[in-house]
Amino acid sequence: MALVRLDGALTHPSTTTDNSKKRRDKSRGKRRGSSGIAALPTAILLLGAVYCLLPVA
Amino acid sequence: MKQTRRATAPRLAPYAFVAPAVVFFAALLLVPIGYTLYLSFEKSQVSGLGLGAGARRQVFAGLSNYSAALADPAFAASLLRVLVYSLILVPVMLGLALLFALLLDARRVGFQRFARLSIFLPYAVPTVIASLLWGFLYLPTVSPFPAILARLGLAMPNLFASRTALFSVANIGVWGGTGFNMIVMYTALRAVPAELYEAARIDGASQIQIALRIKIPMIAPALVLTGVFSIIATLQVFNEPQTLAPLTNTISPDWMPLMKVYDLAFNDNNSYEAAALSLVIAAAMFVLSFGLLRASNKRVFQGR
Repeated sequence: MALVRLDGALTHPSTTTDNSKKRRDKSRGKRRGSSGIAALPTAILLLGAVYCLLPVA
Repeated sequence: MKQTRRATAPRLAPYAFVAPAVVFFAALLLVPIGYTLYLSFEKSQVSGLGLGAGARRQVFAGLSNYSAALADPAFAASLLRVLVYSLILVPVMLGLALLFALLLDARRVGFQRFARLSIFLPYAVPTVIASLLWGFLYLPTVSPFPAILARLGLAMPNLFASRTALFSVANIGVWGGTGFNMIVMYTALRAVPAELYEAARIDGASQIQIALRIKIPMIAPALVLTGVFSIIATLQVFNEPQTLAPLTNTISPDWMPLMKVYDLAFNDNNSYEAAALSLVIAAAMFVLSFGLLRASNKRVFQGR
């Protein structure tokens, strides 16, 4: 079944139903419309940025 | 006559177009390499007290410069040091670059544009300037760190001690090189077909599984490329320790192989041995780079 859905999503993206979209969002662990930011990856990235800016600052 | 000129003109045109590149390549690369090779088989012979014109003559030395350079214990020590330096720098720098590239490519990660610019920024700073910046941060007398650490009840470690100096120099390399490698990996990640991620998500793969099982294997050629370039660059380290050397006694004038070449040529005034040593280093780099590329080609590119 997954193959059929994947095929449909790739070859006919405009024809995917709302249900399939909901399902895909669910599999990402993300609610529709939410734009939550993951705290730990963002913190690691910001730490990297601070390390790189430290001597220049 | 006219016809002959017309016929020869197109045949000469390609040579005329490549001539500037060939001339510059020969004048700026082949001739200096040839002259270095010539110098490596020569030596200066002093007659009498070495005073007056003709007292110093350049004579053929055979392989004595090579044997002297290779037998020098300071060179062996610098070689070992640069290998340890490379072992510290390359995994840390490439590991951080890969981590940041994956985070920049991941969903639901904030401040991506700011982080991309900030992490790439050190690459635009010349290594001499970077070494000075970090050198002043390492020196307790001018660094703001001792005061900050003192507030936390901690003491500033001596970053120029014999055990820590290598890490201090490697830190400058990590700081300067992570951004460039991150951009190379990030660009490779952007070229991975989106349908692979889509398929993995439908199959229930988490972001970490997608990173480990799809993203990293897909950018393996970029990882190999950055790895080989990083190893070559780290073995040629010169600017950082040379700039830091006046700030500490730990970094001697022959601390790294290229510093040893510089020391021989400009402090000892022995261009002949310096030429031999630089050719030995160049040959080692050549063998290492080609060996690594061949080995990685077989594994990553399946011999394509």
